[in-house]
Amino acid sequence: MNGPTFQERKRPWWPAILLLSCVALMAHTASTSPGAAPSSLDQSSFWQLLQGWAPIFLKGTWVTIQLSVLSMAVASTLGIVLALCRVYGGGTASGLALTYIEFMRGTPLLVQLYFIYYGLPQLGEALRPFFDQLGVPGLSRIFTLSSMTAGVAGVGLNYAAYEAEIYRAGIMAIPRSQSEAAAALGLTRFQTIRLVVLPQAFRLVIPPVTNDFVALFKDTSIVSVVALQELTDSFRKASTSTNRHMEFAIVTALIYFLLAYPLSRLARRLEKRIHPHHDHDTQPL
Amino acid sequence: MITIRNLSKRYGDHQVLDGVSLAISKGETVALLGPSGSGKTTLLRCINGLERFDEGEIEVDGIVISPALSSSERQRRVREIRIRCGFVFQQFHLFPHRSTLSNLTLAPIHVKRTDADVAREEGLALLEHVGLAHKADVRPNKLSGGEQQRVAIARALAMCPAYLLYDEPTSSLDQSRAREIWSIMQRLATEGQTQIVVTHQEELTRAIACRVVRMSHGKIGGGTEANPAV
Repeated sequence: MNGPTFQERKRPWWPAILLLSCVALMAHTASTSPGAAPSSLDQSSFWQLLQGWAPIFLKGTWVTIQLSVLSMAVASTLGIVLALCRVYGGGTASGLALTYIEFMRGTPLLVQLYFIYYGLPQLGEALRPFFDQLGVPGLSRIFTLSSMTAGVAGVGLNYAAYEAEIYRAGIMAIPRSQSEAAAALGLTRFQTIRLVVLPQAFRLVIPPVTNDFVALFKDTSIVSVVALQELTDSFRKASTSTNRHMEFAIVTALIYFLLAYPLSRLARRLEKRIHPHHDHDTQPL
Repeated sequence: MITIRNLSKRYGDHQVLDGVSLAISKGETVALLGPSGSGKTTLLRCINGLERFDEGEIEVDGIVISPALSSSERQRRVREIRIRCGFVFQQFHLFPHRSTLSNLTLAPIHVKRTDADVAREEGLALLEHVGLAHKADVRPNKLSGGEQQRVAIARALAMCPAYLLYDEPTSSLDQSRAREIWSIMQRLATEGQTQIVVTHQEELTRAIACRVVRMSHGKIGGGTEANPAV
């Protein structure tokens, strides 16, 4: 028992250390030999440059983290609602949820973001005469969202479709006998879902949901197209104004990686921990 | 008092229950005995609404369910019956995400709105009753099959049910574990708990004083026999 666990914890750090040393070496070469810099826009060493840009990168990183956490909150909440509609909703609710899921998964996040950020304000404008008639001209303004709100809405609504499918699989994995046992005790349908099915389903979906959070975290980089000053936006500003694309790309990738990697490791460890308890309905006697 | 009148149920061509009538009065223990496929488990599951039936009616303390009911009315009545009827499954079906004790307190707290501290105390007393007070904080997957079934009985008893229904309670257990369960059931019988036990194990009817009702091919056959054993 101890042996494999020890190995499991030790092994995954290898790629990280390897990557780090490569990056350090490259960055070192880039900063010391002027020939490595493809342009002479800025001749100062990369480290000095980086120090100047550090506050912008820090701020960008912080915005990316906020964006990820808020989007994930939206995605999880809506995802659970969609999953419950799919499993327990009956014809109409289940059909609506499925339509939403298929539509969100079948269209690119980038297009969804453009629609929310640039398209919705135009829709608001187009509806202005109608709102004027209603006597609430201000309504057309709520269609114009800030970059952050548009980003959270775009990524959150998109990922909700994926979370919904994960939660649905989790709910379906709980044996019917559990619901029967709860019903036989007099619990209502709603209590059965809330107290017996969902708590068990949650345990099962923690690893895939954590994995999905890593994917979401990286996908937030797309939100830079709607003028949100997150990490990828910091990179774009830094690299275009200094023409040091390679070095800043590496720095940016490294920041994403350092934040994402512990999470995927955590997901893998949780999976190991949760899996053995999975087959609770086939207890040996 | 549970009264079953002319109950019939079919799955496609297969007649699972064929005009079954049976009355069970307060305080008696009834063993429904028969080979597999004789419809005894289906009959038991019909009583607390886990299974629907096509004809006839079931009356539990004046609450009547029949196929004619609207689905919301059926749901309401079935829930009333379930609160009166504890159910013990062959495979125990404890809640694996909750401790032994909170398996017992779940229904009293959320269905009967019993105060949580009171429910805990009553739960502990029941665990004591089945000899598992020392396992109160343990998860069910750490218990043996026999222990799990004892917890399952305690979980059903926690709702103070007027009737306790067992579906093959000892068929998944070896002889000695089964005997432990039977002695608990025998004790409950002498305490006046009304019990209905579905089983194919003849030994059970010798271990517990009960009225034996034999079923075959969806019918109650061969009359019933009193069994004042033990």
